[in-house]
Amino acid sequence: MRAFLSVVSLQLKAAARSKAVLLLFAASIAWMFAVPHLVSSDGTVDGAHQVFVRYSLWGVFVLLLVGLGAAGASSLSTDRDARRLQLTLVRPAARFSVALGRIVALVSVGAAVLASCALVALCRTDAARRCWHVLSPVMESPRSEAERAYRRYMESPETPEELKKTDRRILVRILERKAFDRYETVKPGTSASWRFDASGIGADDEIAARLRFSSEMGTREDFTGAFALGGRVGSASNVTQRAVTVPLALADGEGSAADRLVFTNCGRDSLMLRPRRDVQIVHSSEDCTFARNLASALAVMLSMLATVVAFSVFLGAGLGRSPAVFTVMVTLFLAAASPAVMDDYQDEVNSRRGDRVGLALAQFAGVMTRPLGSFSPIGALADDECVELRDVGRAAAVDFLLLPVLFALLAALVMPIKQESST
Amino acid sequence: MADASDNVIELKGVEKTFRDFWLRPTVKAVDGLDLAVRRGEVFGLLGPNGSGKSTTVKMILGLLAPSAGKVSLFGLSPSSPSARARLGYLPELSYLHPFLTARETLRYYAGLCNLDRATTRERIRELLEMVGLADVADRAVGGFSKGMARRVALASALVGKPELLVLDEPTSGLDPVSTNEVKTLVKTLAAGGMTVLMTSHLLGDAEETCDRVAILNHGKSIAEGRVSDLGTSLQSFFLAKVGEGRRFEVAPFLK
Repeated sequence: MRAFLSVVSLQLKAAARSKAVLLLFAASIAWMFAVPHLVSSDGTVDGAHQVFVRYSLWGVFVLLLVGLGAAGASSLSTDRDARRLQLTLVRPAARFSVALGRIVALVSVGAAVLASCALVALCRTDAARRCWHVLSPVMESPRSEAERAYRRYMESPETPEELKKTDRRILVRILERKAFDRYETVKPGTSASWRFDASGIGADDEIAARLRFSSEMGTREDFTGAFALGGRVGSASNVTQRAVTVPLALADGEGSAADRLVFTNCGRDSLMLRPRRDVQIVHSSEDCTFARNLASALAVMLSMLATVVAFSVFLGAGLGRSPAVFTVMVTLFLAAASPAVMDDYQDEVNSRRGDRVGLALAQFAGVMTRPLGSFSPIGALADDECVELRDVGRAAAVDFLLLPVLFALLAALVMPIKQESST
Repeated sequence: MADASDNVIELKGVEKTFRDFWLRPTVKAVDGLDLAVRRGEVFGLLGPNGSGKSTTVKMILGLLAPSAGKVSLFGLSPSSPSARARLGYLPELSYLHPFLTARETLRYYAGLCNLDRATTRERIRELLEMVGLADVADRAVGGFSKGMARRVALASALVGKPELLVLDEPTSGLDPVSTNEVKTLVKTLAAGGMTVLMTSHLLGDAEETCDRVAILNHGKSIAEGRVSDLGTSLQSFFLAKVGEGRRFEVAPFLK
């Protein structure tokens, strides 16, 4: 334990006495203050809040990922290149402690920067601002819907033979994405309903129904309609916003089933909705505040940072400084770009061989960097959506504990191999 | 005849072949080396440049794995933490963290040796006084002269109170006064029961300090024994064994 603490202390001193880390700290705080002057909002209080939270924390997070990623990759590799590492390796300290100590120290630097920026964010926003838990309809999984559709296609005599010969995994993946984006049309004067798991909603919670109209064409509908959930009802008319949130209040008379949201289209036009994306119930209790949500979001961000730092320390243990830093930067770029690549190039069946290779690489990068790309706490925080405890728990268990320990073990394994080759 | 259990370091048929990226052998740095260093002696590993001294030391330290043969330290593998806990190492150059002070440097290595806080404090005070750096203990070592940095490195090697001290060219680059201090220190430590293994180019230093020496050439031990048993000066013996036929051909250049 003493050896581990010595390594942590060494790395913290290296960070504290390095101009690069001081610069990172100063740049992060400066960015928090600069965002409201650099990015303009729609003029509303909500808009200003959203813009400030999204862009300030996003900027700081990117700075930390790049800065601490580079610092992690340089940490062991610089010491090895300067032949200092051998003086540590001949001591009785476990190599795992040496790697883990470096990771913990750099993550602590990240935690200090994030905490400082969070304080700035709390000073510049309403800490008691209400945040919302978001529920989506309980539906068959897109995967199983895709599997059913695939079987139907294969059995149908109308399906072209060429399509039947296509790789099953590719077709199912395309159908899965289509299932996720499947539209339901609600004609004027008719109703549609979706089941929700409403067990987490408290008796005193504020509840609202939310529809989103951001389609692929970027259009938005003129919306007039009414909602019912259990004994609560709500309605809205002539709204042309991209997201419509309709508060549901207790009403006399019969409502719908307690777990079923019923929507009636009272307008003149048909509405096209993607239930898996566009229909939500939001609810909030007294304790769902921005301050609490910010703490949860920071915990998730710190966990993601821990994974990146651990990965970069591992690379620094096995590679020279320059290749390690380069690999970390490329990985960060792939992690950021792969979801967009997969969204933009879905129709892989008709694409050329080069496109398919590129798509396969993007998919591989997407899978390997899923801890970074699967969940965006900053987006949720900016949209006043609760960063749920289960997400914080998953991030803490996997990204903050499991992956860093795994990378530290791998670093301990490759450290002597690289040390030998460079001696 | 010394008992094998008295051997602090033992090398049996040790070979080290360096390989390139494609695992093709490039250099055989050590070739079938047998060596034993006994408890409490000062042992000198001598040899010309490229003779395999540093490679041998690195295998003893566990930084390099032998390609063949066996290296043992206190009867254990050199990579064993128990063996490493009884070892101190001074490399050829000091390799210090320039942003740390002398006191912090010693505290870092004391931590790696798992010393408790009170022992660490006491040991650091003793060592800083011993190497004459107590007055500059809180200055960053990046600003130290080569001699001062060497003293910090020596104190770092001793911070865990090792039973075996491995010194790689300990007087390299030091002025005569500092060289003399190091030699006196080595003799004092040996008199206190510490085993010392040192490599050196400086035969005078080795002759003065070592109880026994081994001379390496092309990765092989060509002579091993007590300095007093050589029957001649170490310098003459070394030149006769290693320097045979080795001289610069200056005449064609001068023509």
